[in-house]
Amino acid sequence: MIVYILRRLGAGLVLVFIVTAITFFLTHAANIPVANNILGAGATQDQVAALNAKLGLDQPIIEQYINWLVGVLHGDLGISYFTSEPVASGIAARLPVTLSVVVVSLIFTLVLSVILGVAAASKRGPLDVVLQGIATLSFIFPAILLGIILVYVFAITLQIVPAVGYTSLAESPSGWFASIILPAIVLSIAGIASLAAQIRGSLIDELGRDYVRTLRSRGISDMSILLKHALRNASGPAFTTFSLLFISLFGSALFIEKIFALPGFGTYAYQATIQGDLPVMLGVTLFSVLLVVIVNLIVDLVSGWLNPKVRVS
Amino acid sequence: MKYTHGLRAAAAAAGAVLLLAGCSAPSSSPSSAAPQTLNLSIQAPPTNFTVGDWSGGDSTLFTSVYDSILKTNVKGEATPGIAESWSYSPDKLVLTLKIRTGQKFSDGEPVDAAAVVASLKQTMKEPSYSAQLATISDVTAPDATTAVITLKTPDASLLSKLGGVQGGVGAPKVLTAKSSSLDPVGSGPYTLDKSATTAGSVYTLKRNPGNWDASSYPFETVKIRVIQDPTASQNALKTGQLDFGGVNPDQVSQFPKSQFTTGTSLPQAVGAIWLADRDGKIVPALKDVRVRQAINMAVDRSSIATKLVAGAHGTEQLVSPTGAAYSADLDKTYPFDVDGAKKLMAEAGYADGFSVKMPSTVVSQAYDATIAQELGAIGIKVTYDTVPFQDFFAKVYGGTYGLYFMYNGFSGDDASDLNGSTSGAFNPYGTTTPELTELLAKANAAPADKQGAAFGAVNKYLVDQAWAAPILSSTGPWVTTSRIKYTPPVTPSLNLLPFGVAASN
Repeated sequence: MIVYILRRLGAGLVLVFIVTAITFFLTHAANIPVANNILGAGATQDQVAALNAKLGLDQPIIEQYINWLVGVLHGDLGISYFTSEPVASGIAARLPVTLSVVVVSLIFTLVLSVILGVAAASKRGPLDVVLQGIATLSFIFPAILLGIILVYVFAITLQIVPAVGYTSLAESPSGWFASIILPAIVLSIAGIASLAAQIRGSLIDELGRDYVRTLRSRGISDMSILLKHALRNASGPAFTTFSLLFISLFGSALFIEKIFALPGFGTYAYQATIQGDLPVMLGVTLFSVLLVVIVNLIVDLVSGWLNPKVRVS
Repeated sequence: MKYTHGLRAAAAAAGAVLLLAGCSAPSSSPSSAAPQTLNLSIQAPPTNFTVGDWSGGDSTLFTSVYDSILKTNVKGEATPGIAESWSYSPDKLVLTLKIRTGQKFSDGEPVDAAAVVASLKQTMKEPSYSAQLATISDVTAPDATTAVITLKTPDASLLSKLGGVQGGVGAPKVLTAKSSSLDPVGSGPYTLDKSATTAGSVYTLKRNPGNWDASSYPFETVKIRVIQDPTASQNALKTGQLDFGGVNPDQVSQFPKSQFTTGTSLPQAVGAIWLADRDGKIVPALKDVRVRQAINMAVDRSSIATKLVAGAHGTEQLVSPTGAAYSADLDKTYPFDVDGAKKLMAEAGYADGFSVKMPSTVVSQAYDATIAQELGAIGIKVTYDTVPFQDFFAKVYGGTYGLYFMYNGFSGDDASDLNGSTSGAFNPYGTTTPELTELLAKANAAPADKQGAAFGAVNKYLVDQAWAAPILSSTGPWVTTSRIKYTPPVTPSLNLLPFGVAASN
């Protein structure tokens, strides 16, 4: 197992190297006038050249990349060209915001999709049709429209939650929850549909298998068969969908952060990309790839725990 | 085991619902009592706080943490700042500043003439401001309470600049230190509360009771959020999370008078087609004044101002309608007249028109189609290059375009507006004429009581010579929570002086 984990981590590091290298070279190919952007309209060519030299942008591209890699190996992700903030601090300050929204959104998604999926698979008939309809509706309903409606009702009209901004958990737990509840609901809406459909489909398959008939013949209750046996066996594919959802939600956080003016990871990445803030772009790319690698590793390990066949393969 | 997981998840969800039910309303509800905190927003975060490195746009944060040599009040007038008084030599080439005593930077060091000199010299070196302060030849401090600025040529906009970002004074010991980029050491009415600040997202200011003018700043705390999305800003305003914001005219009715105060800003900027290539290097036709005048006549200002931009007014001038240099008569120089414009084009030898490339930026997009259509009506075929805003000035300075649409913000005084319109990004090719040079020199050297007329002459010359094709000057409604008293300033987004506590609190 340890060898397996180390092998996966090694492959992950290679992936990090490749993706950050591609990001680095593509950004350079875009030829963004970073120094002009920083200095503004009044800059002369000499001043632009001086700033390029100060930022190291006048060095050969390979040398710039090696310098960045060496910095990373020493735990230094560089400093933002545009806010002068160390990139590591910038990520650390914004990550809790996005993680708060994503994790709470995942909890909503998990709870609601399990309820919908299990109810649809076990009851079938009209309830299945209705629940599938709800799931489909949540899939096609524009999340941005839902966000606007929720803000209008709960923030502007009822004023029980703030319309924008983030309160840290340490500052005020209730303020924290109030600041992320609407974004989390909006973010979870599409995920509920896909995960509920996955759970429903897998569960229907499991409930049709021989071992379920055997268990029934032994007098085990339907509820016990459903939750103790069938749901566990059906949870493998659903868990994979769930993990992909985590990564997808993390990527989707940008639009939700813009609607609710949350100072999160998505906005940080977006702003850096628009401005050509290379240290931040590389930092967020590095972190995002690491996140994907770690989440995938966890998924593989948990899938193995849920289903011994996966472990063997 | 699975039951346990499921129950925990269900319990977490139930707890969440209960927690939500227990959530109190946002702490800054519009109906609260006398405010201790002023909540504002900016669209883009500052690059850094180092003196001379402050990026353009909203200057509120900078002027809050750094006191400036002079101040600009809401009427746009230069008033005492770190310098409690000032005087010009008769030839207006030497400005002597008397520095206020007893002031301290947030690190405890005294604010003196040496600090003023060090800060101004630093700002003069930096690319963002070097062109604006190019008239200064030297700055000295004969003693601790006197600073002397020597000019190459008279500059009527100097006092205005010293009352803005260019006049910011920081502690000499850390003036250019790396730490100053996020940890400013100034003597302004506020200090940056680093513990409650996340660079790029939220900036929190704490009142500095030791500032000589602390009584002009009634709020203990000022929280400035970076909110890029206008809808999010308006939502925050409606819920009282923000105390001030600009809105569109059709949105004013969404803010009930019981909770909000509304008004209209003073003119904020002029939107113009800048006919920059007046020497005809890229677009030879622009060298001919008749072509430039024809462009002015081809633009239907009234239609653009009323149909494309809420709260705008058509204008043919580059100065603010509130300034002394503005003349209502000059707005009748180039009435919309396509046939007249065609005639001028023919006289200039361009009866068949010509083709030009213009940059299309986020600023110009709303006008691009109309401008292309109206110039097309007199034979000027416009094609657009899509240019990211951050690349715009680099391309303009690089000589890519002969003309372009852009806004120029009004600075609060005619001298700054006209000196700005004839230099920098609005005159990237450095074009001028002997007449303009002479008019500007006379206006900059004129006594204060005659500057309005002198800059009025500059303004008339620019209109007659069709220096640009101004289209509209923008104003717009503003909204504040009823706890706040807002006085619309001549120079918006410069400092916190327009914000006070409403009398009802």
